[in-house]
Amino acid sequence: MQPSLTLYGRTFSSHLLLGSAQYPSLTVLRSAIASAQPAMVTVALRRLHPATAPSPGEENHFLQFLQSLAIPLLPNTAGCYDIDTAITTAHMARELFNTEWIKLELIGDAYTLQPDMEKMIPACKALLDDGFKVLPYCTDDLIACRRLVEVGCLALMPWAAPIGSGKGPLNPFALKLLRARLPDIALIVDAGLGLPSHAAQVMEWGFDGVLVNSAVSASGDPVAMARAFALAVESGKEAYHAGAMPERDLAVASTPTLDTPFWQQATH
Amino acid sequence: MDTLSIPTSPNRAANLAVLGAGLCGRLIAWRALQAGCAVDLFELRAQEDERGAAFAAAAMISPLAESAGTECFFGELGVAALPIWQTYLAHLASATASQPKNNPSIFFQQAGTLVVAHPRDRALQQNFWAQLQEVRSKWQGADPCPAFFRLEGEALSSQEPALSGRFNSAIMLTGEGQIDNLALLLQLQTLILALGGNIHWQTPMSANELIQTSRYSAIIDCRGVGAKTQWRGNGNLRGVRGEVMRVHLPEISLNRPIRLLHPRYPLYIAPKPHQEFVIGATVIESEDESPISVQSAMELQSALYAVHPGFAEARILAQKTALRPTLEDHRPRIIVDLPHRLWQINGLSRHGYMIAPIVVESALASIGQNLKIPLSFLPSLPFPTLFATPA
Repeated sequence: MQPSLTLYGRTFSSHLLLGSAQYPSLTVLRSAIASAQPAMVTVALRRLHPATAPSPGEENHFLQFLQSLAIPLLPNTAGCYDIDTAITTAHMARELFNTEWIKLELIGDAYTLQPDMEKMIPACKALLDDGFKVLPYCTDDLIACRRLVEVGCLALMPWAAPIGSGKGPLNPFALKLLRARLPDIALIVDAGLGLPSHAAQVMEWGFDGVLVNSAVSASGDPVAMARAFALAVESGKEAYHAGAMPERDLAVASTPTLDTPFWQQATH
Repeated sequence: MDTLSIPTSPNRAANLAVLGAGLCGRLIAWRALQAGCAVDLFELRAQEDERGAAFAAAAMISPLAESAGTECFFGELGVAALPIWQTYLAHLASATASQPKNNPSIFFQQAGTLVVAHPRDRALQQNFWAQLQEVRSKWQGADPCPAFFRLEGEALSSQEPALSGRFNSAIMLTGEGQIDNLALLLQLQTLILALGGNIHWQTPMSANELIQTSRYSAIIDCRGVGAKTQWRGNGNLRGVRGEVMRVHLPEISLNRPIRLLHPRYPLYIAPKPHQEFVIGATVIESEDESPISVQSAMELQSALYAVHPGFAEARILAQKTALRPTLEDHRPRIIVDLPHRLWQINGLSRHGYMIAPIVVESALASIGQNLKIPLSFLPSLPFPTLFATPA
């Protein structure tokens, strides 16, 4: 993990990404973003506009508001269940925001909102070939993730738990495996985080960043929670770089015990 | 339209122009006429056109529910507005007493709201309860925070027999209510005309145009989303899309609105007269006024079914889409632009029927103070933060 977050050659000083949905008001959203200073803010396009691209001069004030925040925007294809819709939505986003960045969400199950990895692979390939910088929301399946890398993804966004569940990382083994086996890919844990400690934890494992939405927007005080997450991400990152002490099953006194007879110093 | 061609009424206390015949526009026009002013009400749409937030709304009055997870401010406004609704309804009843057949009394119910959740959404119910506690602890209104409590088993069934056996527990929010907005809007229209007001349908009008004419002592802009490009307050005014459905079903009776907890937005089933129910509303950050989407229709209909499967046989009468005029902090504002004799009322968002009376009376107090005519019966202004000057 590099000291700064690098995605498709662009560096960001923050390792936290924030989603923009479901805040009590735009004022709270604005304050939360100001308090967290995230690298990027995601925005869903699917329910904002009719199926056709907006005509020139037709403004959507929510989108205008987001653009006024002067933070890089990362449009996403939330709500897309098939490849064609996802690709169309990505194109609309590129036009609307004049950006090549796209977070690709292609869902296969309405209750868990689990990404459909089989469809993700050709969808990613099509968008990457078209010049998009794709950040795919994916499962923690190593083989499926590898396929995404093979078609050209330089970053992945594996889930910690189902979107909005707040459970924190449910499969640490799988996440750590991804980190170990894909050392050169930017890995941002996305979905299912609920507490800043969850964010700190994945950063301590060496992940490059986290993305949260409900954890902040559905909290009692989104502005405070946004800051808490920013601090947690920084703290986890610092800890990773500092190198954590080794974990042991036995106590190891930090003060010397020279005066204790040797038969009391058994380490079993 | 050439405003100079509208005949003046020299015997009136003042000449007022009101823009927008939605809820606020009609209330302001009616109240000003009652006080002896001449009123010209300008409305973009045709008389029969029932689009717009005022018509689409389920017309809930939910101070507690609307404060949970947001701000007590909305509930404090709502609680202050409730007695004003009573006064308004009494005025309307006496004004129409001579013609009861054409003007039946307006349905107004204040039996509380019952909040339920699908068993899978139990976490939402716990969260909602915690949010209500938060509302109670942060409440700052002059009137006390309305009471709320859990209802279970027998107690729940006796309050709301239709829910018997379907939900183990619910949260009762006391003091909450609803109004038949369609009847109210119609009656206000009738009275505006009866009191000598002029309604200019299908007449687009801008505040700037009226300011130029200098024929009005005050111009009150109540156009909601229609005022978007002429909003003089701070920040942007935007529309937030909402979709509702109205169904008819004789077999089920609800004594009060039911709120079904939903992960993304508040969903209400409001029982209306004539065995009709309004279910709504979605909340989508979009200014698209096209008809209800399949997804939204499915969500609203499945909510009905989840509350009672008998709704499967309900007949769908109508669906409506409207845009809630919303400011950045979701609070309402009255912009007072004295040099131009302009008042802009906007940003009532999802709280229209809950707070309109207090917002309207506050605006009338401000206008009356300026014109030196008593327009409002408010003894003081309980919510000074409603007011702002142009940005």
